[in-house]
Amino acid sequence: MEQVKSKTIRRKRRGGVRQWPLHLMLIPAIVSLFIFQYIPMGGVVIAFQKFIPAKGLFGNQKWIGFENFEFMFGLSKFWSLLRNTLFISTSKIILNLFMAVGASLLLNEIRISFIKRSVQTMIYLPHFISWVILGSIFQDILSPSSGIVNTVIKALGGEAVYFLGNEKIFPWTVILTDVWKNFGYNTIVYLAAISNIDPTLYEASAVDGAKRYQNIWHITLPELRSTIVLLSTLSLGSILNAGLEQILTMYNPSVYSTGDIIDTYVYRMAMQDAQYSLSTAVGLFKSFISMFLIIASYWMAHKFANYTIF
Amino acid sequence: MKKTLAIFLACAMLLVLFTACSGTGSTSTTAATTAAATTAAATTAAATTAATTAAKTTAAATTAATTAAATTAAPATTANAGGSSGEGYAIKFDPPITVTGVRTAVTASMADLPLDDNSWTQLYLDRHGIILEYLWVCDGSQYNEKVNLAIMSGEIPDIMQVTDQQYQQLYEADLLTSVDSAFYDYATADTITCTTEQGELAYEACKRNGELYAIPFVTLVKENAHVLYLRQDWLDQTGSPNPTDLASFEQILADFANPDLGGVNFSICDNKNMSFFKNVVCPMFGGAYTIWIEKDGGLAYGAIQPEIRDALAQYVTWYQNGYIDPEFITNDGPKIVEKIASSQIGLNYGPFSSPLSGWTSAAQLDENIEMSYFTIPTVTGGMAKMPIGTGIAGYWVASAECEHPEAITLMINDFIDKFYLSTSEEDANTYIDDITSGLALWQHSYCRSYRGFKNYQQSIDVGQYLNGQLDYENLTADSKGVATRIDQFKNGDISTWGWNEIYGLDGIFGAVEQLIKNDSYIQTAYYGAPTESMGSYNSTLEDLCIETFTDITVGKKDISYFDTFVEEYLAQGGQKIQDEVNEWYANK
Amino acid sequence: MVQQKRIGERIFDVIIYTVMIIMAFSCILPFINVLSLSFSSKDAATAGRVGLWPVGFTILSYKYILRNSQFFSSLLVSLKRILIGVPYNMLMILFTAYPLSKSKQQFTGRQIYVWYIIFTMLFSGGLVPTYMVIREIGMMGTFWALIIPGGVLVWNIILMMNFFRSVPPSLEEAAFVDGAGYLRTLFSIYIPLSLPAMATIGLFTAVAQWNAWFDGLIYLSDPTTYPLSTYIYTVVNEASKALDGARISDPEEMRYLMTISDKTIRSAQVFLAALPILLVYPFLQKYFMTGIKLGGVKE
Repeated sequence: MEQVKSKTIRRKRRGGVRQWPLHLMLIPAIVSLFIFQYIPMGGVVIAFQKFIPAKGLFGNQKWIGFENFEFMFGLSKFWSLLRNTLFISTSKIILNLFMAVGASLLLNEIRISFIKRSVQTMIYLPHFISWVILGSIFQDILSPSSGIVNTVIKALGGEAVYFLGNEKIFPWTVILTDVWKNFGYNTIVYLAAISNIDPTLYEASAVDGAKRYQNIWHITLPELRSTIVLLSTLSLGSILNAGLEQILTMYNPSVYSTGDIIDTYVYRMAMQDAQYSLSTAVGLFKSFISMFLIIASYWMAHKFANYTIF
Repeated sequence: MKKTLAIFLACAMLLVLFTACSGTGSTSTTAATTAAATTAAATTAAATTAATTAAKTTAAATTAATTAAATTAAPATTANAGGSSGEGYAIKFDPPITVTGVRTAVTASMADLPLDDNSWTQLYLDRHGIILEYLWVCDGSQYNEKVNLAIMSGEIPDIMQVTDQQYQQLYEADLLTSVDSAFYDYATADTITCTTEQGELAYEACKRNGELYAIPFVTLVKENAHVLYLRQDWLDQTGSPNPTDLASFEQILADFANPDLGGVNFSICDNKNMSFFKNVVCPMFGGAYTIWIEKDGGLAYGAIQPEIRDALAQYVTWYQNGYIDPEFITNDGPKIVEKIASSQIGLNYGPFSSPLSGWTSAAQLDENIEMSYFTIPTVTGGMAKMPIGTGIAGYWVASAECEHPEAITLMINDFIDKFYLSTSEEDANTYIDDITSGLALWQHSYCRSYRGFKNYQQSIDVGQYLNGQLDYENLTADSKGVATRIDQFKNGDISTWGWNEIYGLDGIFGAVEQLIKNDSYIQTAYYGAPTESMGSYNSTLEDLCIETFTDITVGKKDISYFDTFVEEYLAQGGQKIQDEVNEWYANK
Repeated sequence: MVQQKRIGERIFDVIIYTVMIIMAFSCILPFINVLSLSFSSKDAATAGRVGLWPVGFTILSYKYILRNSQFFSSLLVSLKRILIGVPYNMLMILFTAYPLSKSKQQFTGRQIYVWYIIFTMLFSGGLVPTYMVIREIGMMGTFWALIIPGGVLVWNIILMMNFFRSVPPSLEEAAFVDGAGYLRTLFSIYIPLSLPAMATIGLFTAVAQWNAWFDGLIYLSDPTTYPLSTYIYTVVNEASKALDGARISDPEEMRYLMTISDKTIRSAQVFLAALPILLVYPFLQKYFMTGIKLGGVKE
C-alpha cells in the first residue's frame, strides 16, 4: 500500500514539531524488548564455548571458538538436514498461502451467513488439536492396511501408499497435513484484511458490469497484496523451523533421509545430554539465515517495487 | 481528555513493568514458621540424645542380626522385619536443622496437600529434627532442565537428585561434598540389605576414587527384566508348543500369524525403534544390544557384536515370512498397546508390570483371555541372559555447602522402613496409600531408594497368603493392598485382573523367578560417568544402528552389509567412545 | 446473455459451496473423533475402537482433570492472565504499531525502530540467558513472569501496523486540520476504523495467552500457581507414562496410573483448551465477516 507522498506545508510542520508523542508511545516496547530480548542475546556466547552448566553461566567456560559450528557443518547429515528443512518449510509457506488466501476468497463469496460462519468456525478447529493427538489420528487414517485414505485409493483401483513410511512421500504428508491444520487459522487474517477493503471499489466495478471472479482478480487480490507480502516475508523469519513438534510425532527412522530436519536432529542430541553449546550454535545459524533472507526480500521490494514491506 | 488518558495509560504500563520487575519471587515455604514453633516444644529427652550415639551401629547391628540371617541370594522375608522399632532410626538433630531440596511435583490429584507440611515432612521432623524446605517444585518433564538452570545460576540446594551427567559435572566442579561416611555410618542394615539385593553395582557406579559422592536411587533391574507374554487361549487353539528354543518359538510365530485368531496375518508387532528385536531376539542369540560387554580383555558395545548379526539374519527371515507387522516402522508404543488390547496379537514381551496396561484392556474386552509367561529362550534351548544396566534411577547428592549430608541417609532409612518393612495398617494409610481417598501419599517422601526384589518378595508373600500359609495381618501394608485386589478379582471383579496376573499364583513371577534364581543376567560392564564422546556421538550412532537394522530387516540392504555397518559405526565416533570406555576399564 | 451470466454465477456458487463444505467437514471430523475419545472408556480408547461416537460413555477423563481444586485455581490464574495480559499486550501493540505505521517522512527514525523490533524476532539468546534475566530481576516464580517478558508480540505488532497503513491518510490530515495530535487521532480515527484488525489480533493474543504452557512450567516454582494450560499439560504427562510399562521405574506409580488412559485424557485436554475460544469466537466473528466502517470512507 503506497503511502501518499504529499508535500503540504502542514506536513513539514507536523513532522518537525509534534513527533514527540510518537516517540513516547514507543518507549514501553523499546524498554521491554531491551530487557527481555536484547540483554539475553548476550547468551549467544554459549555457542562459542564448551558449556558446562556446573561451571555457571558466567563461570570459567572453555572458549572453543567456531568448533561447535565446525562440528555441525561437519556432520555427514548436515546438508540433508538443511535441505529437508528448507524444502518442507518453503513448501509449507507457499501452500499455506494458497490455501489460506483461496479459502478466504471463497468464504467471502458465500452469501448465506449461516453457512459462512459455520464453515469458518469448522476450518478453524484443527488448529487447536495438538500434534500429539493429530499424529495418532493420521497414523490411523493413513495406514496402508487399515486407513481410510488407502481404502479409498484401493477402491479406485490404486495401490496402497505408505504415507508415513515411504521416504519419498513423507515430506508431502508432513506439508499437506500441516496446511490442513493451519489454513483455517490463517484465513482469519485475510478475512480481516478483505473486510477492510473499501466497498466503493466493488460498487464501481458493478457499474462497469464486472463478474464476480473478475472482482476477485482485479480488486480483492490486489488489495490483499500488502498483507500477503507482509506475512510471507515474516514467515521467512522462521524458514528454518519446519515444524519440530509435528515431525517428532510423525517421523520414524525409515524416513530420516527426507524427514529429519535440523530441529529434530538437535532434539535427539539434546535428549542424550544437555547440549547447550550445540543447540545455541544451531539457533544462531538459523537466525543468521533468516535475517539474511528477510533483508534480501525487504531490499528487493524496495528496489524493484519501491515498496516498504514493513 | 483522551490525550491525557492515553498518556496516563502509557505511564501506567511502564509502571507495571517496573513494579513487576522489583517484585520478589517469594518461594519460601511456611515450613520455617512451623518449624520455629516446634523447636520450642521439641522433645529434648535424654533418651534421644543418648540414642544419637548409641543408635549408630550397635542398635542397627542387633536388628540386622535377625534380618540378615536369611539373606544371601533370597530377599529378606517380611516375617523377620524389624519394622519401625525406633532403633537405628532415632538419630535426631537438636536443635532441628533445615535442609533445602528441590523436587518433581506430585500427581495432580494430590495437589491439594501441601508439600511442605504432610505426613512425611512431619516424620522427618519428629524423628530426626529435619526441617525440609523446597526451593522449588517442578513438573517431571522439565525437572532436569530446571536443575541445570539452577546449577548454572549457582542456586544449588543442600540435597537433590540429579542425572549421571549432572553428577559428573558437579563432582568435577567441586560442588559436592562426599557422602561416603554420611551413608555408611548412618544407613541401617535394612537399608543396605534392601538396596543391595540386586548386587552392589549401583554403589560401585557412584564411587569416585573409591568414595561415594552420591547415594544411588536404586531401582529395579533384575526383577523387571523382560519375559515373554503369550495368550494361552491362543496356544490351546493352535496346539503350539511352549517357547523353549528357537524352533518352538518359530512355530508359535507361524501359528499366531493366522488371521482367524486376531484378524491380522502377522504375529510380532514391533515398533519404529525395533524394541522387540532388541529386547527379545538379541538375547535369544546371546546378544546384548544395549550394554557394554567384556570382550578380549576390554570392553565393547553390544550393538555391533556378531551375535546381533545372527539375530538380525533371523529377523530378516521372519520378516520375509510375514511374521512381523509390515507397518512396524511407523508403530509406536500406543499402537502396540492398541493391538494387544484389541486382541490382534497374542505374543509380546515386557517387564512384570505390563499386565496392567494393554493386556488389562484386552481382558476387559475379551473374556477368553488366558495368559502364560515364559523366559526368553536361547536358540538351542535354555534361558537367555537378559542384559541389564546399573539400576540407578538417579543420584542423591549433597552440595558443598550442605552441613548434614547424612540427612539423605536418614530419609532413605525412613522410606525403607515405612515402605518395605512396616506391617502396621496405620503406617500404610499415613505414609503409603490412603485407603479412603486413594491418594498415593508415598510421593511426599523426599529421598528414596528402592528395594531390589520388593515385588518378587511380594509375590511370594501374597502367594503364601493365597495358599493359606500366611495370615493377612502379617503381610506388609503394601502387600495387603495387593492381596485385597486379588481377592476382588477372585470374587468376579475383572478390572483387577492384572494384579492377579502379576502377584497371583501362576502369575508372571513364575517366569521372573526363574531368571532371578538362575541369575540369568548380563550386567553392563561399564558403569562410569558418561564419557565426553558419548555426548557428542551417541545420538548419531543410535540413528545409524536403527536405520541400518530397519533397512536390513525390510530388505533395502542385504545382511552382508552388517560388517560395513560396524566399520561405519566405529568411524563415526564409536571408536572414540570405545577408547574412552576402555581407558576407564583399565584404570578401574 | 443475462441467462448465461446467471447460470455461470450459479455454477460458480455451487462449486464454491461444495468445496468449502467438504473442507469444513474434513476439518471437523477429526475434532469429533477427539471429542468422542474424551468421552470414551479407557479400554475402548486403548484398543482403538472409537470412531465418531463415544464407546463406553464415561466422563472419567474430565473428572480426572477437574477433580482437584487445583483445576479451578489454575483456571483462575489463566483468567487473570487473560484479563491482565491481553489488555497489556494490546496496549503495547497499539502504541507500537501506530507510530511505526507512519511513513519515513512523517516520522524520523521509523526505520531504526522497525528493524529494532524485527531483529528480536530473528535473534534470541535462548532459554538459559532469558531465565537468568528473569531471575535477576526478581520475577522468578511470580505471576508476572507470565505476562511481562512476553509482553511485546512483534508479529502482532507488524500485522497491526499493516492494518493501520491501510487507513487513508486523508482522514488523518483532516483530523490534524481540526487541531488533533497523533494521540488523539489514534483513538478517534484509527482504532474505530480497525476493529476487524483489533478483533483478529485480540483473538490471536488471547489464544496465545490461554494456550501458553511452557513458561509456566519453567518460571513458576509452585505448581499450585500454574495457569490452566500448564496444569493440564502435567496431568496429560502423567497419564502418558502409563502406556509404556518398561519405562516405569517407580513400581508404585503403576497402581495409580492404571486408572487412566493417555488417549482419553489428552482428548479431554484438547477440548478444554479449545472450549473458551469456541465460546468467544462467534461473538468476534462479525468483525471479520463484515467491514465495520464508522462514518464511511469516500475517496
